[in-house]
Amino acid sequence: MSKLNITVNDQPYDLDIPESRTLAQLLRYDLGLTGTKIGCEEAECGICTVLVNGVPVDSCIYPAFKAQGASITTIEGLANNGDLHALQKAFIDHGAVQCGFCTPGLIMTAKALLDNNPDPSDHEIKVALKDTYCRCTGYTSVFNAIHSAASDLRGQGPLAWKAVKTVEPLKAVGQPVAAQEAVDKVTGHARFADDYVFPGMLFGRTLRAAYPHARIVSIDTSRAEALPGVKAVLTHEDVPGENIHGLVYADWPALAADKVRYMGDPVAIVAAETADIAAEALGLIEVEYEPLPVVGDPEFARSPEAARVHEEREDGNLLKHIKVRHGDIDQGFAEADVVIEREYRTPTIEHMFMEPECAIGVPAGFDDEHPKLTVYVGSQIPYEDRRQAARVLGIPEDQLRVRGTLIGGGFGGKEDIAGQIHVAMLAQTTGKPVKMLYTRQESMLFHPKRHATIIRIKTGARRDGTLTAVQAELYGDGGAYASLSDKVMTRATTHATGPYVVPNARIDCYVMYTNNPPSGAFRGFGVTQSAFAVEQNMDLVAEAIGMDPMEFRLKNAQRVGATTATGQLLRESVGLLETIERVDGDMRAGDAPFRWGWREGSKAYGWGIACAYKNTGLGGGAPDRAVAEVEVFENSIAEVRTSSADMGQGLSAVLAQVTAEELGLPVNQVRVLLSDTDLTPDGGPTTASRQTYVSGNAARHAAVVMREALASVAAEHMSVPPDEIRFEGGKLRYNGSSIEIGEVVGWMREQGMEARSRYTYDAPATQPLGTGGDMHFAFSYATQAALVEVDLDTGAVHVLKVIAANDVGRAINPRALEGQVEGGISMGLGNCLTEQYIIEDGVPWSGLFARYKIPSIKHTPEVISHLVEHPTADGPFGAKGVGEITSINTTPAIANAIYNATGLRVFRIPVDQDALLRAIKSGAREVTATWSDVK
Amino acid sequence: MQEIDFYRADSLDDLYRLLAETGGRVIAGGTDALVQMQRDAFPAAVVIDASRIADLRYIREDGDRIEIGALTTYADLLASSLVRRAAPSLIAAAETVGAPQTRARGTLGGNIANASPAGDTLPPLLALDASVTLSSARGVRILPLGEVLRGPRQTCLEPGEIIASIAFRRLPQPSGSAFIKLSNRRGMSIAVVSVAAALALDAAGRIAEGRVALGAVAPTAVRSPAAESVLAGEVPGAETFRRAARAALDDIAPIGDVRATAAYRREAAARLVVRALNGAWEHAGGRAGA
Repeated sequence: MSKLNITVNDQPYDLDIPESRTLAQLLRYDLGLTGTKIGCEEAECGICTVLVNGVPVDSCIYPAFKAQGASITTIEGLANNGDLHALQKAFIDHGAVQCGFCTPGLIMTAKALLDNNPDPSDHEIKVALKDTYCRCTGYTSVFNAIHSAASDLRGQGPLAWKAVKTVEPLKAVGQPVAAQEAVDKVTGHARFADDYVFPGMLFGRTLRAAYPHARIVSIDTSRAEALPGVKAVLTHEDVPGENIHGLVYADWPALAADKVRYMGDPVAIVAAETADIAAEALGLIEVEYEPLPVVGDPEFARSPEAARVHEEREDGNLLKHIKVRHGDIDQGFAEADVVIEREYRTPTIEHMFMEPECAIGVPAGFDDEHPKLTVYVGSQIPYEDRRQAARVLGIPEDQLRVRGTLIGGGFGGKEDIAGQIHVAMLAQTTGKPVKMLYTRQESMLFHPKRHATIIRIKTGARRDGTLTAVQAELYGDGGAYASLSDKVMTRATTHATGPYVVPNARIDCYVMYTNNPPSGAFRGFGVTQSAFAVEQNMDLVAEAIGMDPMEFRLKNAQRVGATTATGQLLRESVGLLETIERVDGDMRAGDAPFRWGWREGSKAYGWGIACAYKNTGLGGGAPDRAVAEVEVFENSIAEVRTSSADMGQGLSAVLAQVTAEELGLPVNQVRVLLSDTDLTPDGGPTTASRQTYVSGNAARHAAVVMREALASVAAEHMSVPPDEIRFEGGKLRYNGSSIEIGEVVGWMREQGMEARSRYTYDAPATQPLGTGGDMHFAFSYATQAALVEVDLDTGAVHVLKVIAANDVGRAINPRALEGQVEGGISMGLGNCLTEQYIIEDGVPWSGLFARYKIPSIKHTPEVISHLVEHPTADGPFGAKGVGEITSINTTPAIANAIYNATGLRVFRIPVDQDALLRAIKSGAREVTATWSDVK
Repeated sequence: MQEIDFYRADSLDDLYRLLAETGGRVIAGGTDALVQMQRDAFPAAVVIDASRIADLRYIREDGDRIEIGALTTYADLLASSLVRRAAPSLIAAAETVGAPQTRARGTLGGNIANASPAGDTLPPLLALDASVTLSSARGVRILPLGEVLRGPRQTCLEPGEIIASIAFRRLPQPSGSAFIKLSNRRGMSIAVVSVAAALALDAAGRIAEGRVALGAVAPTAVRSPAAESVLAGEVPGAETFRRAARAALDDIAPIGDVRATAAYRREAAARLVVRALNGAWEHAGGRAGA
């Protein structure tokens, strides 16, 4: 221990700390200043940035003792007596806050910049923020916020948010509303799972597999149990209920029993007095393995010589064979004048949400607030967590409560079980609260990722540009456990014709078990992968028949009255044509005649386009339901409750807006309570771009029921017809007089009625794949154009500009929507150019944040966004899904642009500058190599 | 984090004494060392933090000679108008080093002591013909930077010896320098190839002195004597620069690793040499070649 005198946010401290304490740990765990977040502990992600004597440092590796005598400023020290700092205000007003986990780091880094440079250029902002990462926003809003704050601090006032054009907004719907959590997120008071602390809390750690595929011969925990400070060491033998979980198929043991199937498999869990002791205990657990042959890729997995990942399965390593059959494929190709067949490969992609997984288990009866076993977690599907955990714990679901905390990004990566079950087991065993926080490296190793795919696709068209047939074969790397593989790869399969009218289609997809980390949900849900193949084949066909790629798409685009390859008649809300026209208009604007590609010195430039569509909701015959509750109080505040998750995408604002609209309340008089299995009804999974639509409808209808109840009571009380009462500005108005909504609530209560409504919304029914009919109740559509610069000397690719048009039905919150557009493009850009989760024979090479590069602020292209609003009849105010469509076509748009710039067609992502340069030099036309080919 | 004994030196004498007593390893900004410690990969059990020795943090001008104390941070370099004028290549390199969080703490001396083949400031310092002052309780010795760098992560420092300062002479006007770093392979930001160039022109506009140095293409960052002899006395321009670039390939021995193939490094190095020379020429007031 050593003495430390420091000042934090003007408050002096005199502390005794261990030498190994980092400044981030000191701030968070010793001083309770949890606004400073830890994202990687590698000094890579920058979100732990605080100022030491005014200088920004990565507090996650900064030894606390180095701060001796220093003055520290954290995010909590920025607001002055409740007045937000200009940066804090600007981040909210410009939509630069989504999940909020990186927000403190971005703001602190930006503050250090503005302290020295009152009017930074875009370049200076990039230099300053280049290693402070954000996975949600795509950074465009961050630039705008910093410029605005700089202007404000210079005394010139803040800059206005650059509004995107939408249809006429209503009172609440269509307005750029800040989420209720926004202020807490910019001040550091927002609480994520690791920010919760309970008295006597223990710390859990997980021992993971030593091999990607091995039989477990024996596990000896005795030495670990003997370590002072260790309170529990549990293995599969200690599982009280059934040792199995899984979202679609139950195939995933909570603790590995007979064998391990990937490097992230949990073998034992430990609870100890400190995280360090728990980590030390892991090293004392002796596991004897008998290594088995590794199944490393999905094509090999299907061969007879491949080892069985799940020996009991009848289909070998085949997780699922998914088929689309439509029309007559032979006839389709017979009618074609041009047939193009190519193979594309996409890699495993990591979500890299900025908040690593964390869960806390509090045992039943711990205190008055916890009469039942409670799990705190930032999860996308709280009710599923409860179902799966109860099964493993061997308790009825009513004895378990899952309380959602804020979520520091999810993107599909927080749908599966992480530490939820383990902390519940450890809490029940020890009788104490147990927190399990994954390190970044553990998070990267463990959680399900985007499927690596191999996609062979054959596209036929007539010389006049009419598509006649698409045949495709897809292989998906499902990894060791099913997770959502079935559903994800179904989506890849059904969307493999692209958003076009394709009269004849035959598509087969094989999802395979391997010994790689499991694959599951990831924004785009399989469509990201198939779009990469489909949209490049579209350009190849267009070129072969000598047609402009935009014209070719316009000719074949789905429109109202068209039928999809799964046999669904599109009856409404198909805005694809308009998205193409909007992007095309922008792309070709300007004085010079438009060119798809050109050269300037050693740089080649090119435009590329791609279209996409994406279902809203679960579809495929799955009942798609959300339940919401609305309660109004006597102070005229309404509360909406549903278990749906807000992981930064902005659901809480959307729910507040639709409720406010229906009740005629100012939006800031509507509170939203999410993600609690005891207090909020089931909103279903936060996946498939479904929450605005499904939970949005549940909230809206609950609000309508509430309004009708209020109107009826008020009408009776005041003897006026209920339909003459208008709800406006928090009041009920009739004949020129008005009354507060809260007063009517009082009348209801006097009559023994509760001012509470509950609505179960069932989305329009869908049909399973293969049965024809409506597989989905709505689709969103998008077109993107990307302008790239390729450096012919180095092969480096820069995306200069992206023009996007998204048909979202109706923009409920245009500012949050722009965040989805910009963030989606950034994620698509990463998918195309910077990201690959590399696995070598089942062993992940990409084990560090430093070995997996998500786009930084340096990569931010200029984004021009158009919203197209073709309302869907049953959507709330016409809205349909937004979360995924924005991200799907960036990758193929860039790939097509690279071709138009260089004449090189890229069949694998990430686009490799090394392979690109060699191809440029050798005069090759096709690039099929990527990073992982180089050892 | 691994168990490590920390000492803090507040003065040079303090540092010499602690070095003698503990045989520990000196860290300055600690931007590499602390990450290694987090991963339990730091190769020493005793660490002496030198970052508070104010005497080693300065930027001085003495006639045409510029001397930079070893504890000068990247941020200090970026804030120095003197360095900005005299060595834009060094500024460009400092800008590419990590984030502000790293630039605020990482030091020039640390970058040299680390002796990474891809160390960002090494090519520009080599191209500036920098010398390094090493000091110990026994005295000082001054060596060209190229002699200090012995291999990957190896320097010529003897026990008890530290890097005290780095110095270079301004090139006579008209002159210029430039630095280019290429990264991104397998998603990492460490240089795949980096090139620095410096040019001084004579009254007739010919190259009086031309220097080229490269990073990440040999066991250490290296100067290219072959390229420099091509440049000497020539008329600057695309043709000369291309010949120099081809010659530079004789002085490098790139390996293939997770960040790039050897073939790519050679190809990119050749092209970046041309580009860096163009940049230096432009900065010297010349016209950039194609």
